[in-house]
Amino acid sequence: MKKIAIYGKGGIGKSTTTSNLSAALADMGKKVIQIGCDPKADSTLNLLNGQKLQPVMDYYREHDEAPGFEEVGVTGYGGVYCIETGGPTPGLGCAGRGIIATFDLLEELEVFEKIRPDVVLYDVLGDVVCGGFAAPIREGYAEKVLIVTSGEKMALYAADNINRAVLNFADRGYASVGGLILNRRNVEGEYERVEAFAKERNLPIVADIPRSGDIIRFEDQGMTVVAGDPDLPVSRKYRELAEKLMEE
Amino acid sequence: MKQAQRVLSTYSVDIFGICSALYELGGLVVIHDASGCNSTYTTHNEPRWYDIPSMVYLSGLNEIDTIYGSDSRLIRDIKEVSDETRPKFISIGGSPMPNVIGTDFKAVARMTEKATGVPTLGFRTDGIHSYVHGAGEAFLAFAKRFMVPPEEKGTKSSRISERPVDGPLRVNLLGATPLDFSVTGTVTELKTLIRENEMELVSTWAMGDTAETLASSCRADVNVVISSTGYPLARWMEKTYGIPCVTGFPVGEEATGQWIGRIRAAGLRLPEDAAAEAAKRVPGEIPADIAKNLPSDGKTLLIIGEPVAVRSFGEAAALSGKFGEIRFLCPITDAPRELTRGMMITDDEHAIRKACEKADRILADPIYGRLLPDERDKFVFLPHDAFSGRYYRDQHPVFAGPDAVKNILDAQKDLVVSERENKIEPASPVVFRA
Repeated sequence: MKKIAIYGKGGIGKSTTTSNLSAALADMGKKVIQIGCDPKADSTLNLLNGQKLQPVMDYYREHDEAPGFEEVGVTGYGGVYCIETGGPTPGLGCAGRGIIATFDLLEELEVFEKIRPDVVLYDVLGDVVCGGFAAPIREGYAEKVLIVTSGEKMALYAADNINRAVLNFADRGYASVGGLILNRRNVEGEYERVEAFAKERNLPIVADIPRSGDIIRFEDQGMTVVAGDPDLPVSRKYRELAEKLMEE
Repeated sequence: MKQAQRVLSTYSVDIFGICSALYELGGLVVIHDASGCNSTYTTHNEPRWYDIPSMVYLSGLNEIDTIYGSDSRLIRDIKEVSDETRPKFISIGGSPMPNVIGTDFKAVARMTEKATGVPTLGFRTDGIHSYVHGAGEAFLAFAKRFMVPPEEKGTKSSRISERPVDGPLRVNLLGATPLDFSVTGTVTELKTLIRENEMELVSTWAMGDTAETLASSCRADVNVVISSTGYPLARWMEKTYGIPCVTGFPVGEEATGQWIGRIRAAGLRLPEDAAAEAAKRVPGEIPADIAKNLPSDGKTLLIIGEPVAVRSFGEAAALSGKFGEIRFLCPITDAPRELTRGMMITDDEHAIRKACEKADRILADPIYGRLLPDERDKFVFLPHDAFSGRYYRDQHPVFAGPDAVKNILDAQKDLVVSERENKIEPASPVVFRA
């Protein structure tokens, strides 16, 4: 079972990347679980025809008790099992705690043992502001972190922060950074900027995703571009990344 | 009022189970928590506190540590204590507070081991799971880290240490902590029974043996799980070393003979033997031939408590032939599922009261008597340290072995008086003891 956490600056395209990766893996016949670790709970939207699923934390709020296996997630495109941790209203409570509580519940319900996925993808909120947001890279969870970035200064700044945070956790036996996913915003000299950044930190660029109106077009229809048209150049990039990850 | 505990106590929590399991093994047992919140540990959960030295360290978690998640101060402090006391190992777990802020004890353990050079076990604790979970994890983690495998004999099926020809059957007792057995002689009785029946007692996890003895205990022929805290270890030793296990302890003369027979059959691997078949059945389950002969007009007995104990008492009750129906209630909701099959599993006071109302007789810790104050005569009391702490420790009977039934019944008068008189006394603080 491969377990990968996707991090990156807010709005950089983590959920888009993760969902397309899930869809591409599912098309390869792999059993995938995608876990959105963000209070916004919108990671899996495009695997579910644009429908929001009930996040685990919302279930607690409404039912005063933990959800059972049947309520913890739903099956989306290609059999991808979709879970959203959810979390409190912004400004209230403790979102990081929500992630930890969800992970505890998944363990208690033996979700991985029951579904037996080939791949688990964690789509994590951009800012690692507390212990809860590092939970996906703890021992026993993701073994590898992929950072989504563009060539924009703030995206690279966030990528650097994430990389340094993960390096700081090395003594703890946490995941390591497996590379960068360049999600292009078409800024000037974008590839060169990201390449220089990657080289300085000894990180590979594992995928170069072009900016594409097709992504937005299919997302408007509630689906990933990989599901919408698997032969488009951008879809091929996601499929290549999926194949690469499975080969490693 | 549902889900409110008005008269019942709660069972000891995971971190206290860890402390209890590892107490005698020469390690530094760290509780990461605010100072002063752990007096229940010393006053109620650890009867050995004032008699057997052990190294228990309370970190004194404070507000700033909580905000910053300062694992570094914790590790620095543990290193200082470790350098001073030179423990054989270190174990780290905590209370609900570090759990809420997401403290990763496995990561802390890894860093502590690097800083101190002392083997360190980290436990995921939340102060909400039960002692069964905590002690079970502690025994398992200790074994995985320190157990020395027997000499390899080639194939996996023969990885078990070879018993000398005509040598005695070698037995481990798994799951002995004062939380389930107190310190009033029951574990000693079980050890004596093994030895008196010409078997070799290799180790008892973990009362009365050293870390070294436990580390070499996989040379045993059979494991006997005497409480559910020993069950994860038994399963692991079965899988890793092929050592079979028998679950339960004997209550009464007839049950004692059968228990010894089951241990022998399992240890000698007698596949066709009826006793070996009996050893394979659900631990402590009432055998079908006894169950079908229960008098149909007999009374209903309800037994409440830790699952291995309740089945062991259930077996004794079935053998007595005095009850038409025997029901089991396990209030420790995270006990291993394999051990609680067929039991009512609930810690809800309302549900437990209802179950008590429906029974003619109830065997339980004296605190359960408070559920039906006008029907105290229904109860046979048997104190359980993990539930009532020190309240009834002086009245604990030896509840295993040939005389167990008599001992339990003889203790009733004192227990009823004690139950009426018990008062909550002021707790003393946890201090570091070297």
